Amino acid sequence: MSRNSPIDDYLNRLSQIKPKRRLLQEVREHLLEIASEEQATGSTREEAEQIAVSRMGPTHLVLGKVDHPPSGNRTRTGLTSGIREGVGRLESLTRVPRSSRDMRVGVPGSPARRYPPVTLIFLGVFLAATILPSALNVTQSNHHRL
Amino acid sequence: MSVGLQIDTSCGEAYCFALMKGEVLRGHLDLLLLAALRPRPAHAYGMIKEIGSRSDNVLQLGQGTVYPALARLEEEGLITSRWVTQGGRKRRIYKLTNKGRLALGEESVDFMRFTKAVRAVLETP
Repeated sequence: MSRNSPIDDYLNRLSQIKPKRRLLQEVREHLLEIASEEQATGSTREEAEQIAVSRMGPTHLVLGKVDHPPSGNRTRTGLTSGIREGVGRLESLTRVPRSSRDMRVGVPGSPARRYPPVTLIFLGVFLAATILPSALNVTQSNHHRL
Repeated sequence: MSVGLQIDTSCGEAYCFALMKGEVLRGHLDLLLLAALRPRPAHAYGMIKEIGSRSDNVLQLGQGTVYPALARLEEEGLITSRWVTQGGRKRRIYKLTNKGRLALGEESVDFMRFTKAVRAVLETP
């Protein structure tokens, strides 16, 4: 029974995440090119393919799923990781973009995503001005006199 | 150091430095890729090698991490791509669009201004 090559194994794993066909083909050519260069330096085919696969990195990186690596790698204590995550979230809410394009790199572009507290404040003011006075039966300005 | 960092368990100085380096690289990945395409169109692996060689191998991008960035840049119309066959090998070649060239120019200026400002702060005794 023949065994899959490391590159075939990698592509099989990648295809399970259902990437676009074009990306799969592009990654395949990329891996083959690295492997071919490695073979030219004296590595066996198997070694060369292993090197190519390890240089490509985990399959989830190819699809851009880099923010949350598998939880098995994160074994910090609960308190430390909790603080870190909290600070990270706070930072993401208050981050000031360095430039117009940095706003886009890794951070969704919508102002509502970038400034949620401001959005919430506006929403709160709007609700207070429109719903609360009638719900509480507070006198409202009404220019239509009967 | 690869851009696609694995989170390690110990947060010693080495880890924190590595993480910072990775984050810095990731933050400027788009700019680096656009800059790598400025002289001529290239495929993903070619861009990675170009960035490595221009930076004396200080900037070693994780091979897999460039694909999401390339897809994003193409979606925004900053680059275009097509399949070509070179030396018997099929390659997806990326090229800067006019919009990409303009964006690269503007971002380069912003980045230079930023690094100049940081250097001024750091060099103040």
